Amino acid sequence: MVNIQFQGLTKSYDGEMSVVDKVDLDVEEGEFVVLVGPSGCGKSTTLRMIAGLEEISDGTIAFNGQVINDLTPRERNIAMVFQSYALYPHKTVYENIAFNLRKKKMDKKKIDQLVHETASSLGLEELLKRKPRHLSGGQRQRVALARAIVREPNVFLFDEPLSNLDANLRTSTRVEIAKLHQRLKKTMIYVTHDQVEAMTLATRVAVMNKGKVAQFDTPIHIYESPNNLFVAGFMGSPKMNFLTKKILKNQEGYFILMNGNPIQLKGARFEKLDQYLDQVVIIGIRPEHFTQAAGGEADIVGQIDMFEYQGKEKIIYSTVDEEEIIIRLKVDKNFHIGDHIGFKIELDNIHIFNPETEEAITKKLAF
Amino acid sequence: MDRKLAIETKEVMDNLDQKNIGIKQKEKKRFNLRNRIDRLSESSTAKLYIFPTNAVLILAILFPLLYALFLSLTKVEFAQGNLEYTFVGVNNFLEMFRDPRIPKILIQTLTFTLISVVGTVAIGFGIALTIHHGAWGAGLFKRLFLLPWALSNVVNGLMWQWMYSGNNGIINEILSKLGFIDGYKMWLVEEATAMGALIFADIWKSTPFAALLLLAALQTVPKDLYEASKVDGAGAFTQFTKIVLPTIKPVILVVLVTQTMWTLRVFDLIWVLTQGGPMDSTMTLNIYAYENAFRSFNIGYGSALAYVITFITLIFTFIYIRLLGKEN
Repeated sequence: MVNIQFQGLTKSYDGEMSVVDKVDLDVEEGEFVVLVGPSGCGKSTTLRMIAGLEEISDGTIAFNGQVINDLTPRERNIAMVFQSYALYPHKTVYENIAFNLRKKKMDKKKIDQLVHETASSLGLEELLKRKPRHLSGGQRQRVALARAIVREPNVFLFDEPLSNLDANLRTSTRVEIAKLHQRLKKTMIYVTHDQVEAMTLATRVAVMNKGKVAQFDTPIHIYESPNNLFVAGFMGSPKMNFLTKKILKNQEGYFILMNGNPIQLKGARFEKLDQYLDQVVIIGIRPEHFTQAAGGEADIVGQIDMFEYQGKEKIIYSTVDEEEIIIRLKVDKNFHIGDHIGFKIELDNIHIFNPETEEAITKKLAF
Repeated sequence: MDRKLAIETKEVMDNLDQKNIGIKQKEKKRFNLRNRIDRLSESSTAKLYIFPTNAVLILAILFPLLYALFLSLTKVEFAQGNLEYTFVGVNNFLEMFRDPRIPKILIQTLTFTLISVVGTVAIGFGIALTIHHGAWGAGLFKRLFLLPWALSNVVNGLMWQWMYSGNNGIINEILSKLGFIDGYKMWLVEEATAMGALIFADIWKSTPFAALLLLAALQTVPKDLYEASKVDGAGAFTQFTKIVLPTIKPVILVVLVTQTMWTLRVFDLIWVLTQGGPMDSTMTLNIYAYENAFRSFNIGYGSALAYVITFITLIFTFIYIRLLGKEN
């Protein structure tokens, strides 16, 4: 079992802008950490630096306190699952799984036993004699997993392993990987651009943006109390609504105007707004944090520009003060485009961000 | 009332039918190629498209092949300006066993082919790897390495003739300046060196194409495979032997087969440089077949010799496939 520390981890090509920029992370033993972010955010490069496939420009990576910067991939004893699976096309499933063990000059009987054990744990026993090109995408993915598991590595690295699978397989393989982590309790680092994978698999998520870690926290904290605009906007689908509003004050306290309606920001956490009085801030409200309200009770009355029916809920697109807002409501009433509906905002759940630093001024407190 | 209506309806229908038939007849009369083609089934369309190619293949390959087979079973003689064919069965083939020049020619053909193919593939692989891994000089190689292959065979032959020249050839010049030889040598005229000189020139000429194919093959090996094997603990050597070579095996097979075929058939280079001499020391089956067929007008025997070359090619191909291509 290994813990991993990154200190000032940096990758730059030809001394130009850093792809990975002074990343500090502490991954604990047996943790499942997901690196998530848009393409080009440096998540894959970070993973490849752990694997030893990419040179580290600056900073260190340490396993259990021992710096591994200069170790070869082989000496690091890591296993990696690639997006393309990277199975050896001319080798059978058996040989693919056994390749590393053979490289280690392990006893043949022992190899045979390990390969069969691993294969049966993933339901691959019938396929051992086949070549990768005779396997389906899901089967190839399991062979790639088997190849990683069989060698009992210090760390498992996953580079977008589910991206090439269709939607159904993706969900079931995701569950497989989660179970695998439950069973093996090994340190795993997983790269994806898919926030659902990040939220469902991770013990902690590192949201990356432009080579930096925007937030490193449990999935719940990442979703419920994002540290900054980027994390708030990246996690969640449909996206969090961002409304640019001026903070005003009356006898009852701070308020903002929406479609001309004053909305009072009541509660202790809004007292921080003092220094933002008469300034513009960004209000973040997730689509599910609206409730339908009758005319008099509503905070806003908006016109339905468009809606999407999604089974148990409807996604409603409306406009407030020339800004689009997206609202997610349970379907209990029939709507028509052009209807006016009243909404209430769940004030406990709103986030307020500083538009310049993009950091959260006050965020919802997560449990 | 009902009856009247029924009759009227029938009349209208009949009229319509006649009109329809009229249209159909008109359509039939006007032969419209485009419509015909549009209505063809997918496989018929495919056959139509392939037809020109097939026609060329039949005319240019199958016909000469069969004609040569026919010739190899006959004795061809000129009689009063006309060709006379006499059927002799497999006599032309049996004749080879009696021909005292054949053993030497056969051995030389195989020597020339084997050394040239092995040299071509080995050097081609070296060049491909150099370019693929961007080693020192890769940029220069990339721009220049196809040049020998692009040269016409005869031009290539003439160029080597000058370079090997015993009077003022550059090879003599360089080797004597470097102190490898005492005086100028007649590379193409001496029995001991002629074959070596030919093989060298042939390798020079064939290597680029082999290198090109192998380079293309190397570039199809996914980067992920290199990385996966690196993570699996393979060093550069294992990576090459266990991952890269097996992955590009089918292309290596193609390179070996085509190079062997082409080398067995090399004609222009040998013809320009030595014409099989001195003293048969560079005589290959191919040149011998030509000599028989077109110089001695022993057309039947020449054709039989040519067929033997085909057999040897088949044998080589069979061996390669057994060695390399068990599953492909």
